[in-house]
Amino acid sequence: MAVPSDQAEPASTRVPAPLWISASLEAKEGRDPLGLQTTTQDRLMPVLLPGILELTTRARYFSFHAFLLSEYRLKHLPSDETSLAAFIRQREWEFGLAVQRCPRHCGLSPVGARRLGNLAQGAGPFPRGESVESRLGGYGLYYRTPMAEVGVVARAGTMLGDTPIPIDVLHQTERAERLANGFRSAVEGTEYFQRKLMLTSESLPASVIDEYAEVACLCRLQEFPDEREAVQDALFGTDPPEEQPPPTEEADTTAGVLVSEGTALADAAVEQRRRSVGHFLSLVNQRPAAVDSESAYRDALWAPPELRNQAHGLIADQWAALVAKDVWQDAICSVWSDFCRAGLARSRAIGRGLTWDETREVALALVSGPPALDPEQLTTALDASLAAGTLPGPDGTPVSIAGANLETLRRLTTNLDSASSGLVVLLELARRTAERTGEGWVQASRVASGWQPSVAAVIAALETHLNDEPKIAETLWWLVSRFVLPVHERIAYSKLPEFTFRFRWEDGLLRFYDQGMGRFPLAGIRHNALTSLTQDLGLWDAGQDGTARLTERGRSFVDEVFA
Amino acid sequence: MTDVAEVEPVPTVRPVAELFTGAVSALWATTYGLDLALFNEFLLGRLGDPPLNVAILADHRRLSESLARIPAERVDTLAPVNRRWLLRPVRPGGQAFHPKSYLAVTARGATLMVGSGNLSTGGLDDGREVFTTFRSGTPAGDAAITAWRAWMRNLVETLADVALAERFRDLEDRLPPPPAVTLAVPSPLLHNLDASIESQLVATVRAAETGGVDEMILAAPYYDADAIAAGQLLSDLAPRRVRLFVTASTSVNGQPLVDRLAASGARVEVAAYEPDRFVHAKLIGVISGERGWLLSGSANLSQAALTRTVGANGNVELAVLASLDPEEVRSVFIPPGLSVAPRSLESLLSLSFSSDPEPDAPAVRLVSATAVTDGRVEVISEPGVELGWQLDDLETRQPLTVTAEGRGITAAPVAGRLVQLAGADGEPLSNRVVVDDPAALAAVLVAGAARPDADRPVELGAGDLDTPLAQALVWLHRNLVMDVSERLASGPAGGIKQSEGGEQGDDDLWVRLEREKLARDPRANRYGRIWTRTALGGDEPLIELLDALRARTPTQPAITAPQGGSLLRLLLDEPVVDPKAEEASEAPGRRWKISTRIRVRARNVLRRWAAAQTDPRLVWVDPLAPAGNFAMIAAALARLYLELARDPERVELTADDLHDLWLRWLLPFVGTGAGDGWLDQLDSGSAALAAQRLPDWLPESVAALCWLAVRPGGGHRDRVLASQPLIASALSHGLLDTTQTTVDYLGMVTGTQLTLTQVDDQLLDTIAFIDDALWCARTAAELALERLELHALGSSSSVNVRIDVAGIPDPLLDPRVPRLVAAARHYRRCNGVALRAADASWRISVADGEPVGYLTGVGTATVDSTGPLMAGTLERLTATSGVLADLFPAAQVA
Repeated sequence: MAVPSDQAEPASTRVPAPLWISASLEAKEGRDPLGLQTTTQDRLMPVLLPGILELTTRARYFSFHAFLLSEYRLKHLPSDETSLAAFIRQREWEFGLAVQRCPRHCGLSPVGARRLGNLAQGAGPFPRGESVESRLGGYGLYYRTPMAEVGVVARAGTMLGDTPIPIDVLHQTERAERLANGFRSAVEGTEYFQRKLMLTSESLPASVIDEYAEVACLCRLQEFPDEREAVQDALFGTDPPEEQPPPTEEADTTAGVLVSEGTALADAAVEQRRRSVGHFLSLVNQRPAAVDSESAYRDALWAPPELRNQAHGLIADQWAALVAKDVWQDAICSVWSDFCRAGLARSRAIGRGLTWDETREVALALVSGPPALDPEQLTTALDASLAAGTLPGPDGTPVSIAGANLETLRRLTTNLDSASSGLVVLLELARRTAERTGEGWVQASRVASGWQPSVAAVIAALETHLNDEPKIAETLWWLVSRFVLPVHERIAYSKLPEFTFRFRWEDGLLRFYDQGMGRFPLAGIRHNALTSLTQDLGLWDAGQDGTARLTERGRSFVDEVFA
Repeated sequence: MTDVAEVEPVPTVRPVAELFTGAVSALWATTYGLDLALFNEFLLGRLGDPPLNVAILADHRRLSESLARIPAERVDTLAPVNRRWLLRPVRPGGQAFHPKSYLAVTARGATLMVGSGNLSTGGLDDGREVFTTFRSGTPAGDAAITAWRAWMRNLVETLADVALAERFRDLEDRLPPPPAVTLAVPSPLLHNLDASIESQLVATVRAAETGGVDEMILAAPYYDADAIAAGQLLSDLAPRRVRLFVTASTSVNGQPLVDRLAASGARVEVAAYEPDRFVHAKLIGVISGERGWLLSGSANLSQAALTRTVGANGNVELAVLASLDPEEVRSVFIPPGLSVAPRSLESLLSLSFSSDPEPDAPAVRLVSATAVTDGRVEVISEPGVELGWQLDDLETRQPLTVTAEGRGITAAPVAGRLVQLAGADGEPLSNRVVVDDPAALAAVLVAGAARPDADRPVELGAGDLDTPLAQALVWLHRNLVMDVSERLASGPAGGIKQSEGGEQGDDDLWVRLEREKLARDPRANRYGRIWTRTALGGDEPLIELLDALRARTPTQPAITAPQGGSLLRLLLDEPVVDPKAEEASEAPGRRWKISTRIRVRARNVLRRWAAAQTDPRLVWVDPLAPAGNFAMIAAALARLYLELARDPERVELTADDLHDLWLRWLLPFVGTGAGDGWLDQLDSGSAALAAQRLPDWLPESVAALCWLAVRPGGGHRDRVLASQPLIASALSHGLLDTTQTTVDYLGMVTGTQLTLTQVDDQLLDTIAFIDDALWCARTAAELALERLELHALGSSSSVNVRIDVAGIPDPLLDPRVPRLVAAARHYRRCNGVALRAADASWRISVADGEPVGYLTGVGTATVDSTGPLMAGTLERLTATSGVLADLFPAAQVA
């Protein structure tokens, strides 16, 4: 048994023992290493399709959640967010059970499906529970923001006089109340509603849930035309001026200006949402595969078969620019991916990081493909030869570059995952966008992120670069040194203490990290949301052969939007 | 060697989190290798706002090598160097400048870390390094910091660099003064400016040991080629046993090492770290009987590091010598995550010395380059600048004119920041240096751009920030998570990949993202500081908050923590700012001003934050985050009450605002006694943790704030009724403790003489207060009821109170009923309550231990609940917005 080494030494004067260090930085994969997803999800999508998120997929959740907020107020439940949050999560649980027990076996996935597990398959009675752990349940995760943006919900913190409201409430507008009443009308005859079972905690018999499911399931919206109209009005309608919220008491401040402007902005957002959805429906009308295949949807967005009028042309050009931006993203992603692989291999070979010159050498050599390119060939010569060129398809069969649609080229470079394929697709993208001049194209193609320039700026810079008659190897280095090297490092530094570096300059050498070296995906472009929301609203349906077709309502919607 | 392997892992230190914090006003580092990008892009940003004194001394040759690799395209990454902070290459003795030390100074004190890690990710974060941490205010810490200052002063004088010397003087001003009375503690730091580290180690051991050295333990990644330094140690200390920890990359020639070990006559044990990873720590342990010493720091087992002085071809090294018990010495040699396995002595023969020759130094040493006022650059070199030389900034070259002192100065402004000397032919002649910008360096010592204005509560505008109240709110916003919704405002759309879209069933993913986002909030580690410093010392966040509320300028004294850790005493003892003196000051602090706008906005911020305390996601930030937030707000309100009493002109909030805010914060924390407070929701483990960690000063502060909320005056009865359940609940949670300091504080705030008994009695009177009419009016309004009448029935029956109520048609299914009953029970401190419809259409009786009775009208039978009402059931219903129907058979409810 050891004793303290210096018994004459008081504890307060003892020199502490050294400690081993432990990390404050945590290695993570990183989701957007070049800052390109953010252009889509944070800059373009909120402009192109305001008020609809990637996961805002079921129209009936709008009326369901409006109903919950309305009931919460009618039942005089406490004005604190904890109580409201519990109320919402509990009701979502019961609603989820009903959806899972849908008599039609619709198979739709409700909020909370994970937590519900196989419970709904049992015979009941069903215990009470909460849908998801998140504070405001699925409402908070998926629907709160859209419902606030479309103007049916006032979020907690909204100023009422000089005091912020403590919880989310429905706006007291005819549009918001109609939304809540729509769902209420559907369920008010059920035992679940009549017996106020949403206020009790007893287990719910299967018969109660099944009766509730009969009218409340997500798939039943079409059977309640008033409710469906209310949802559609919530998404695409506006309130009369007299029902719009007044300016706050701070109208002279910046925030006040925003509120005043917000009214106009809200109207513009409604119009933009209507047009984007109208455009989607017009594409479905002409390319039914657009509902089942995002690839077909992207292809249709790039080359819409028929445009109604100038307004339609404007919106179509905007979405085409989004598609072009994603083609650029996947092209540079191929360069990035190849560069990371080659850099890591070179570093391992020499046992250290790379100097600037060695880094340049790695980029200059990214020509092995497929397709293999001659590094000494002029890039302009490659550009000129693309009309007759090919890229290897998934089965190795050559795919004509000039003959392939842009979406096919995007997918090809994604599969080939090589810098040379990225370069080829970028050159072809530049060629195909050269004639685009529409106002919508100009607006959307110039949208940049904080990290990367816009697709329009990239194409303009490429043109300038090509004026100097660079060789292919030099163009690859231009791409790496301009859009990969500095950008990734800045992004990764901004993420610290999450350590998401794939490479970084350390002591004057570029050190590569072998952590998640693969490609990074495209951001969602609301394809699923648009597909399911518009189907729920009865704007299209699947014909007997399963092919999507616009309904009368859908055709009317398009006609009205692009009148 | 298994005995060593079985030792419990030692605790660790996180230098990045410990050293680089927003409270730091000065940071000095010495290092061999320097990751400039890591420092510029990340670590620098974690430090405090200007005034900020940062200086890094790094090995000249290593730094030059690093700068030489930077291409023109990346020079912009050096933007902050020698503008926002000072970088100095050092190599005074011709050998490596190798010490790794980090001194971080805050308003509350200084922390010095001395160890083996360079300023890089490997050295400070993910490498196998050790550091000894010294804090000012402790005898060993003060001794170490004093020794470091003397060592650094020596270096600064040797370097004769004016800019560095000026910064060092500024650093000394920022350092806490040495304690007036010090214990005689020898310096734990060893350096080799005057004597070799080995000789100092040997002298210390020899002076203390009596029976010779029993054991020597060695671990270092680098030896000299033939293990001469190790051999000298073995010779000088003559241990009976030697333990050697190695890895496959240990740099030493195996044969001479084996020879020296064999020649020592000691029993030799060799152990290899497993898995085989590079271990950069340098450790020498010596054990003699029951005494042990551990040398750690920068010195490898090489001659240049260990056995030479700087003047005798040695490196510059810095080490820590600690006197520890033998087991402690042994345990330090095992890094977390590694184990050790015995190896034979012969296994050492596989080791080889890997020389890492430094590149030849250029012919000319560029010592410094400094921008002068017109943008031209003046350079100093060794040898002096010659005619025809140019200054190359990697983009252009400028001819140099030579001054009488042999300095060179460019003919025109230089745009680039990284420069080197070049000959007439353009060929580089010298190393590169980063140009000094003296004006920017000076500015950052006294003031500078603060954080972006956007980093503030949403309610506050940019023009609001020039008041202490707003500054305190901004401080809270930046340092604690008061409202998790702010952090998650972007919603789940961000970060959604194409492949993840549309899968609403995968809710867990989004919840996980939320949780991860909160867990990595950098403000989370602030809570640890709240819990660990109940004695109001060191860098406690509380003190920083109070400093913000005082609008303390750098020239004003910081709040000094009193003995005993009483917040109220601290507030009472703090120096009172004389407004006249403040106005006369050349550097006035931020002014308090009456402003309705600030008042409204500050009130809204604090109300929003109060409502956000019940958000269960706060525990993802820290399990006790709501308690930390509550404590900080209590402190802020106590400070504001005092300020209001001293000078009402200086506080935007009124006394009524403070009462209102206090109750809004107290309510979610302690609840109303109906099980609805945050403290009520804790499981037993968390409750115990909260009880253990809540600051000692909190109960007496809560007592003071509660008393102020109910003190006699206008609206007294209303305030008492509003506060009553909260104060009762605070008392039951052990959060109400009137002390003499409470009374002194209240006397100062109210300007009246109070006694402890008076204050206690008034608080108890509040709990016992009865005004049935007022209670009914308030409760009816709160629950949106048409009418309430309360009738006391005496204590003879099981029902003590009857309430007639209008506006509840369906009492079993109305969530207001449990709330009403619970409120009545707490108000009247009774058990049995009967509710009766004003139109006599129903009647309900509620008492713990008895079935709940429900009568639907005259002539009908009473329906009883399925069992007697258990204690706590009503509170549970209230907390969950439940209904009485849950207590009855379903058929009866239907």
